[in-house]
Amino acid sequence: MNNKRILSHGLNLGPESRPTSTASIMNHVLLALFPGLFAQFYYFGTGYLYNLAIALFAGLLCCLTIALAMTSTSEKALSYASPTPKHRFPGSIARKNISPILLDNSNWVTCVLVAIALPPNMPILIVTVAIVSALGLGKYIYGGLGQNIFNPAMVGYGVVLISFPSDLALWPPVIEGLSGATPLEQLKYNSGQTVQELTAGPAFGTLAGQGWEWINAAYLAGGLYLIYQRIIGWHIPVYLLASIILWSAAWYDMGSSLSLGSPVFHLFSGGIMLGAFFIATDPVTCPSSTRGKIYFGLLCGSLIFIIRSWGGYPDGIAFAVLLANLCVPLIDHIHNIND
Amino acid sequence: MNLLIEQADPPTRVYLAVQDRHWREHGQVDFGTYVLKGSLLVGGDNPVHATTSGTLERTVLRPSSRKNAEPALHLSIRSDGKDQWLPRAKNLSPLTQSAEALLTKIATAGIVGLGGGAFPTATKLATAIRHTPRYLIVNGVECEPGVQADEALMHAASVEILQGALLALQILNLDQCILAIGEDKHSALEIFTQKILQQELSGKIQLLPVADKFPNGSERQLIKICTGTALPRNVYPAQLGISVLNVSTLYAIYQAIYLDQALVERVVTLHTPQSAKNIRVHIGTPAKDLVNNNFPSRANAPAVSTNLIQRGGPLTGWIQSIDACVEKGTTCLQLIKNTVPKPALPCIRCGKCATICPENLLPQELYWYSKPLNEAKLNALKLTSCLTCGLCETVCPSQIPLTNMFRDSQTLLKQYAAHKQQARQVSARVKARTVRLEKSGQSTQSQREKRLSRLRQSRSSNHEQ
Ligand code: SF4
Ligand code: SF4
Repeated sequence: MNNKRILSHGLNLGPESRPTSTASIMNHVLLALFPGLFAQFYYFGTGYLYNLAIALFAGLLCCLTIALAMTSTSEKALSYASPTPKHRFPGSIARKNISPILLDNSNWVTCVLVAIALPPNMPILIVTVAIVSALGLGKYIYGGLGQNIFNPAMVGYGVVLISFPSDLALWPPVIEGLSGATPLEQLKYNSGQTVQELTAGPAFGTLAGQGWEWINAAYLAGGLYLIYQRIIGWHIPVYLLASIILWSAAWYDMGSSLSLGSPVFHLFSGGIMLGAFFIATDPVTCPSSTRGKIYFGLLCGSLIFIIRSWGGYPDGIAFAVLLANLCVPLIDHIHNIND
Repeated sequence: MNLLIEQADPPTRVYLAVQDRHWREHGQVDFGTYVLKGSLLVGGDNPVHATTSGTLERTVLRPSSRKNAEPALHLSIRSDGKDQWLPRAKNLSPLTQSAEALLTKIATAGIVGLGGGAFPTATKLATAIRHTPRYLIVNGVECEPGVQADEALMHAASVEILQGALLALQILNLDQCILAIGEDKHSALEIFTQKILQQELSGKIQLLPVADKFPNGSERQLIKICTGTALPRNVYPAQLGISVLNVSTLYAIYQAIYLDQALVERVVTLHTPQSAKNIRVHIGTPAKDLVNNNFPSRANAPAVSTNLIQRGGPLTGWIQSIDACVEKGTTCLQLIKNTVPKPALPCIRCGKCATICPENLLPQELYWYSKPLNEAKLNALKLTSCLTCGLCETVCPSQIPLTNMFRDSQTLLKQYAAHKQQARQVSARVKARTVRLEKSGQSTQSQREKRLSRLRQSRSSNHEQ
């Protein structure tokens, strides 16, 4: 129905439900990513812009290919149905069907998320593989927007993380001349030091890793903006962060050498804020009911902590979100109503 | 929009929908006779009254204004333009009559819920009486933007509405009722406050301003507001002894009992792109005539041919045929431009629809399982409790026509259930017959053999001849 016509009759829908369009929702997400992008650029330099440029270019090519492939299959179907030569010119049909795929801003959100998740200055090949798997395997193989069960960006990241583990461990130091291990890794392989001794090191700032804390704070700000704009609900991020706090408090062990780090450290390390506000909240791949969202947030948070503390990977966001995505149909099946 | 009610002239013909399948048995008048306004044409549970004076012509198949309805049988009356009433009884003293007598009166006057539901009011009240009446709520909320038929009536007929409420109280044997009026209707609130004081009814009628939020005027939401507890799903209010009556229904009850008038007219808000007004319309007036009569000069008449007519308000309404008629449940008719709607984008599961749904449903899931209709899932997701209020559709950023889809799915589910019921009945009958035959010593098998041998015999005898 026509939103404008109804609103002209004076319907007051309240702040939760400003009429929007799907495109503007994605624009808001892109806008909210900016502070974080800027922070990453500030600490890691132009390597990120390079990633971003390759990712967007690869995304464009990928979308074009998918659009052409889709039209050519539909064209084939058409040419079976009607033998008139009119259907043999792919251009005329292609032009019609390309635009929805290119104008679907969620593809650009996916590309940007992949570019952010990768360490800076990645080889073109790796970025391209990530983007192609994100859009192709993560999204269009399921039928496109709204049909996928896994978060596309995390599918792309997961594929390259498994395929090129050594390249993806190459996080440049925030400060010149420091060793390459991220604060999270330093804590994990802490060789008998207490948290106190560790955090006194130059790689650590006031809250968590030097630089990482500010990047996370920037994503947190973007996420709060999205909640304020009612683009995302507050349930998933809040419950995700809460479960991280609980787990890390349980294993804090008063900062001894066996400690896995303080809750504050965990909240501001790695990609937590990005994951909590931008990745886990992807509406397509999270449960629909409010209670389902709460379970989903708790599950994501727990998996992130488990993978990052005891798993073989530096950070657990991608696999945690993918595993939680797997449970969404089950959660939706159990909680199918908002009572 | 002003709140005056214009009286519509009788159209050249009215078409009255006949819902009774056995209407021929209940028919009261022959075709070709002259009938007066208010005379009973078809009796039974769904009575039909002549809504204007004229000649009862014949039955015609015309498009129905209900959603997803096949063309239905209508009785057509050619109006003589005089709009003459049937002589009515005088000096009725309803206060001494029993509840049963009043209910019969309401039933024979053909009164149904005029807020849009069109459920027979007498049946509703009788159910509530069976389950011990607890609350009577008078619904004057009318929260849908753009619909003002009830508000106009509250201005014009506040005394009558209060009398109607007292009658309903008498029927239900209750002491008090709640009169819920939308907060935005300041003047109506004022009028009722005054009238209640004047007539010293404050002990019986409790005025309750209700927040101007859609869909507070829907039955279930209103019950939640007035009683503080939400109705369980799949329970009708009447089963808990709660009756919700619309103000215009009460007005009709007043007319039926004090004035001995059948329900033949109702107030309809007519919207055109240029203007809007409230008209008291003869039930059965074709929508096309209504529009044309109200814009007699050709210059500013909106072209009926290039527009669509929507029955109901901007949110809950649906497009009806231009030839469909005003029914008892028609609250509003809108002439809207026939534009091609923007194509819907895929659902991105943003959840805006679920946030706003007043029944706490998950429209995105309902949509998913409506595309190829999945009966079991839709039942699990409680599609039946969808009010088809239209809010989810309004907020959807992908412009998916959700509500329309739900309305269609609801119709389909009802059909499925009916078919299943039929199938169960048939199979029960067949089983019963088998049992019967076996008891009487003839299995179906032996019967079949007997029949076959008889057939063979007759064939062979035919050959011989
Ligand atoms: S509002 Fe529309 S796009 Fe959003 S979840 Fe509901 S149906 Fe899907
Ligand atoms: S129409 Fe939509 S918002 Fe309204 S009750 Fe149904 S599902 Fe809920």
